[in-house]
Amino acid sequence: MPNCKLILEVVDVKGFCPFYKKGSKITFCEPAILKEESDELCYGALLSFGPFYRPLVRGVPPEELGLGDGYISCHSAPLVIPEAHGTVFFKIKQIPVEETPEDLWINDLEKKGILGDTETIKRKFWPKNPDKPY
Amino acid sequence: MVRNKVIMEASEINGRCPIYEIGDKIVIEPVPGENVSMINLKETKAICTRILGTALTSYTLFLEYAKPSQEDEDKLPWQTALGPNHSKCPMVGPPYTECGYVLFKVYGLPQEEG
Repeated sequence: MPNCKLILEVVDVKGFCPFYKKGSKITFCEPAILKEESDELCYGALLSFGPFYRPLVRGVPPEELGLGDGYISCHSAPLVIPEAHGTVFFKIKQIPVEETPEDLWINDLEKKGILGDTETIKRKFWPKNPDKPY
Repeated sequence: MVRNKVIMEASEINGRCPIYEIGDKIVIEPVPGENVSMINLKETKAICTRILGTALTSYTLFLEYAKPSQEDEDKLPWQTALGPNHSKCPMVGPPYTECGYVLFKVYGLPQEEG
């Protein structure tokens, strides 16, 4: 399975959403969200999508994950609930890519001769107290 | 100090869900004497992996620490968040996905810390 760039495109908003409208996009490419290719980032919507991120970005088709032709929604309750403001529906698009930003980083380490076994990496990067933030 | 037991209760199912039925619960409980909480596996029906992301958005920690007030005039807007709030799993439901979505009612029940 090829690594994929992943685009979540808003296909509909049932009700009102303060951030998204039809056509809004969030673009992922392992290991990150591409800010230049994304519109607003709703924390709740991103978390709802969280469990599906890794398999989709590694090329597992949405059908195999039970997402049909690639539809997913945010966590917001439907409008039958009085306090609900609206639900956003996303279409998932997978675009196979040759190299992800993570691949580029690994390649860069290789070019610099840093990549190797764990001990090699430790010697280059590990601080004296790796458990402490400062 | 009062902390709250947080309950996510399946209140509506749109389509087919192979895991939850209406009334099933996920129960999150403060650990007595500690500032952590855990899922009570005895009182929890099941934890679907697809609800994990939504569960993080469902005010679980927030509801655990929310303080209810007896006096209306003392209440801040967020204090009404003891519940219920509602969140759904991210499945779209038929005809787009085989599984339907489950709507969870999320609320806190104040408990005395032992």
